[in-house]
Amino acid sequence: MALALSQTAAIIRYELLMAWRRRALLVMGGFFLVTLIGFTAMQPPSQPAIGDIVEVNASANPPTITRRDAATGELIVEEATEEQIQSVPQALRDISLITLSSTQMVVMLVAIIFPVLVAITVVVFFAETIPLDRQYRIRELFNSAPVSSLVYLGSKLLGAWAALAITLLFVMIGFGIFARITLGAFDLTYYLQSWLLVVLPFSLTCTGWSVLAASGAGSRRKAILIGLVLLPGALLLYTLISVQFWSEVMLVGSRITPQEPLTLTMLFGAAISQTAAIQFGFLISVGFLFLVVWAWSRMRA
Amino acid sequence: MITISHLTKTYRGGVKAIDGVSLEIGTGMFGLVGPNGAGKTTFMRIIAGLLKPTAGEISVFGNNLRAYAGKQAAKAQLGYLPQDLGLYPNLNAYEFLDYMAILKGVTSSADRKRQIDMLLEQVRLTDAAKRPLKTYSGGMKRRVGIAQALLGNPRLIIVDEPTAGLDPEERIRFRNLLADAAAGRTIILSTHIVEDISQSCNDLAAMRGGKVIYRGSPQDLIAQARGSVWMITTQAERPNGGLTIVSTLQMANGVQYRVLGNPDGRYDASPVEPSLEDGYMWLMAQANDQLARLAASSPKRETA
Ligand SMILES: Nc1ncnc2c1ncn2[C@@H]1O[C@H](COP(=O)(O)OP(=O)(O)OP(=O)(O)O)[C@@H](O)[C@H]1O
Ligand SMILES: [Mg+2]
Repeated sequence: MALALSQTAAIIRYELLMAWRRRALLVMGGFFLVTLIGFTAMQPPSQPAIGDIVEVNASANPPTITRRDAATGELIVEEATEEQIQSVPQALRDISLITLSSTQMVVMLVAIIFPVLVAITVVVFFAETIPLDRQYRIRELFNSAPVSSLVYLGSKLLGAWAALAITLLFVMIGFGIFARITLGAFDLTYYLQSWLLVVLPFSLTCTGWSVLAASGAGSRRKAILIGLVLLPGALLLYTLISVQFWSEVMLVGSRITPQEPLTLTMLFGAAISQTAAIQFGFLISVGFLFLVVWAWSRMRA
Repeated sequence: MITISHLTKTYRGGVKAIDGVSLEIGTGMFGLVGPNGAGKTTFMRIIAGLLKPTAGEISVFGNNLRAYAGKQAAKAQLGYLPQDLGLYPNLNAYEFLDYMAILKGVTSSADRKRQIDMLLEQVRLTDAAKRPLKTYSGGMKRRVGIAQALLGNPRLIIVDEPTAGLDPEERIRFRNLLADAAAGRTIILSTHIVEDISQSCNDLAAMRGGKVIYRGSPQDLIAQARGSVWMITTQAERPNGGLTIVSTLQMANGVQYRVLGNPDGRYDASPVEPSLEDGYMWLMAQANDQLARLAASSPKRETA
């Protein structure tokens, strides 16, 4: 048991080191970041405001408004007149229109656009994880050591997942900084939730499918072909979660009541939690696939 | 003690690579020789638990290789150098050995460092230890493979053509390294360089066509060839008539041939003391003769 844990830790550590040395993670992370930034840059510049009002804080005492000065672009906070308050629909009071719009933008980019990049990249990219050992003719050495098939397969999967998680973390931070500078303040909670509850489980699922389905391939080339075969499946999964996400966001209109102001929770809370729930369901499919591949490799050992 | 009984391996496609081999291998160096395709690699991979036999039983230090648990237990005491060795190109020798050592169960990092430093010294790679393996020459890679096989103090070491591609100096160094390691362990070594065996093994097997055709000491094999090795110096054409030419040397007074067989009166032949290589050649020539006789005696099928 202690040996199995040391072996697992070593395989993960060296998988990461080698992935790093192959520049593989850097290339993938760079691609993700550049594409996300490209998408963001393609969005029309928006200065969300109703007239020049950026936020009405009607529940404060006394009520205040935040205006953008037309000449300098500076934000000015002042006491609100009844007329100004009435000019903003009920649902949009007590919320910063800037934060609303920039949060909406980053959440949309991360939860809706980004997973498609992940889908087309990781299923091909991580397919080589196990076949590479055969291509390098290193499998023979693994097989001559007391490494059980469970430890080998499990560690390779965990290693791929760790590599993926590190790449995503890097993209999350990088894009977060970029978005903060170009789009303005956004709500960090929903940004993080989009990554952790939508992007991460989706990427783990795609990576798991890819590592396991290609585990029998003898060469990198065959592995990539298997990855390409998985691609439609990954895109289908993407379609499912993005439809789920959008339909939840669309339902927000029906939830708004004149009494209740619009909140970010209302906008994204259900979408994120619903999507996360089906995602974890899909993650279980990786578990089943793991059992099948493991039983198969155990049988052949 | 390794016990092999009635071992057979038939590859998919019908090649019978091992054909009913029974052997016992004790401690010390055990040499395995035989022509290309004789089945040496297949045999060694089966003992290492890398390949499932078609039939037969193998027990390695009492562990039955047919059972998964037995196989894992045997692997915990195994050092293996494949004939077709692969390494991770982006790791350096130190990292690679560290990785392999953990997989082999050397979990204490102080222990690992001590073993790796010592082995790197022994295969003379200490200076190159921090360079990526992809920058290594063929012989250097081989030496990393050798070091890897010795990690973790295995009781059984299986090395498949370990000296292929090594320069003479390194080959001799490796031979001594293995001979030192052989005390109290079992080392199975296959090679095409018969000299490797004559210098270090007191037990050997010769394989051919999946069968063991000789088992015994190098001395006995040499003794079998005594009286069949001759030196012939001639200015005429190459000696023929059932003779196997082992070596040819151009001399001032003609060409000197070292031959196996029974030269007739035509030649001015003088007997020489056989080497292990002569013994090996003699053995293979006998096997060829036997095959030829078998082929000749089998009735030809008539075509209607
Ligand atoms: N994976 C395989 N599939 C089918 N046949 C194989 C396979 N591996 C080896 N063989 C066949 O089995 C026989 C024995 O091969 P093996 O590699 O064991 O010989 P060897 O004695 O190691 O030869 P060499 O000295 O060239 O290394 C050969 O006829 C070879 O063609
Ligand atoms: Mg061989």
